[in-house]
Amino acid sequence: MFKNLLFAILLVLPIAANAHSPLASSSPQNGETLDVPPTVVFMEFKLPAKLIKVDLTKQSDKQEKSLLGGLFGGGDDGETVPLGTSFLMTTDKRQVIPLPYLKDGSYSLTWRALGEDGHVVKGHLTFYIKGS
Amino acid sequence: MDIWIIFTPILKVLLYIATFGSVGSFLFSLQFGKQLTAEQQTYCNYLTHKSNLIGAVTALLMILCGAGNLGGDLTSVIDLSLLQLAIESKSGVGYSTAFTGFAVMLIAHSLSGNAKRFGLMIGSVAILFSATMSGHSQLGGVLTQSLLMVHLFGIAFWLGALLPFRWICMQPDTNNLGALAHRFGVLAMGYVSLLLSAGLGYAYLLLGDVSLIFTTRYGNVLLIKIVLAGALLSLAALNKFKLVPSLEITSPQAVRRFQSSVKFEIALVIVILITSSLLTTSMTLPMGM
Repeated sequence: MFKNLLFAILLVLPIAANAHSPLASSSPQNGETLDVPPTVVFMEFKLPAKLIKVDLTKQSDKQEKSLLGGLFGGGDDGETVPLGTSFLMTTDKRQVIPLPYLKDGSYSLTWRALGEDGHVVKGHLTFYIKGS
Repeated sequence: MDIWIIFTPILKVLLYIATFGSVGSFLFSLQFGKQLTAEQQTYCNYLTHKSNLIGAVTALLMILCGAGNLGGDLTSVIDLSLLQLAIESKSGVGYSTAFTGFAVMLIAHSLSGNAKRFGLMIGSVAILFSATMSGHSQLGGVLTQSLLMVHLFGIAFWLGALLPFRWICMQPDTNNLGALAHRFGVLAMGYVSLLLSAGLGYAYLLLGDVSLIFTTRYGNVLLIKIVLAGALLSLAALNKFKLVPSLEITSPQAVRRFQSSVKFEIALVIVILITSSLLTTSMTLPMGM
């Protein structure tokens, strides 16, 4: 029983623990609704970090992921928006990600970075474009 | 959510167990060598050897895990560019140092006399030092790194004694148990004060403000760890002042009670190691590190 309890703690606590963001600010902000499509995403980290991977996805209307889909990267991922790579691999507190022209819709940006202390930091932000 | 937020803390717990099993049982046999029987000494050597094997494999897996965590999917562990990034990062250098430490200890095991002892010491220092080479301990430079090193050394002494004591309790010959436990209690007063003061000083330097224990997620998990460590200390005090004196008359009942207490301590230690692994792998310090 004790082994099962430990296993459950190990599975559940990291999920709860993963919510703290190393970002000081971003533009657009997470959850922001914009009238005009942004041309860049601006991210300011609390400490210098090197962006390793950034993915932008235009979410489909019925985007739902199963738990296993979320873990292993399967399931309905929406439409991937191609981004350049020029902004990757630079260590800085301020990171600017140039964007292509974005149509109206809901977008999710996920990023992974390597912190100066050697830790991997990651997060995501969602924004909506609702043209007038 | 991705698979790495589960793999990374699990591997980190394994690495902690291997670290304290390896360095701890070596410290135990170093300090109590003259009092141990041949069988007890053989068991300590077996523990050190087994922990070194687990530690070496886990340190390598942590580097692969680092590459996977950078890329986000399972295939990233074989992506050469991500692997190179993971190896060259501070964490990667730390895990490589830990691997070297475990390997040195494995080689030292096949030697004898002073060469063996010297090899095991060098390996132990490398393993403990590797934990200070990346992560939150970088925040305050040499001061936080030194405090962490002292903290880990104290933990290794304490935890390294638990498995040997549990094993001795299960043997038919428990004649020296009372004397060993008594001496351990005397030495532990020094080691535990050292590990506590270093741990609290380290935590204060990382947070910078005591109120953050209650207002941040990192602080909350740290608080859980402190409460659990308090429970472990209370149990250790019960052992020292109540159970150990009764061991000196070697009654089977006293041995059984001591064994149950040690088993409970081991269970608590595992929960503490899980919270520590979360603090170092899944939590961000309030200042973003």
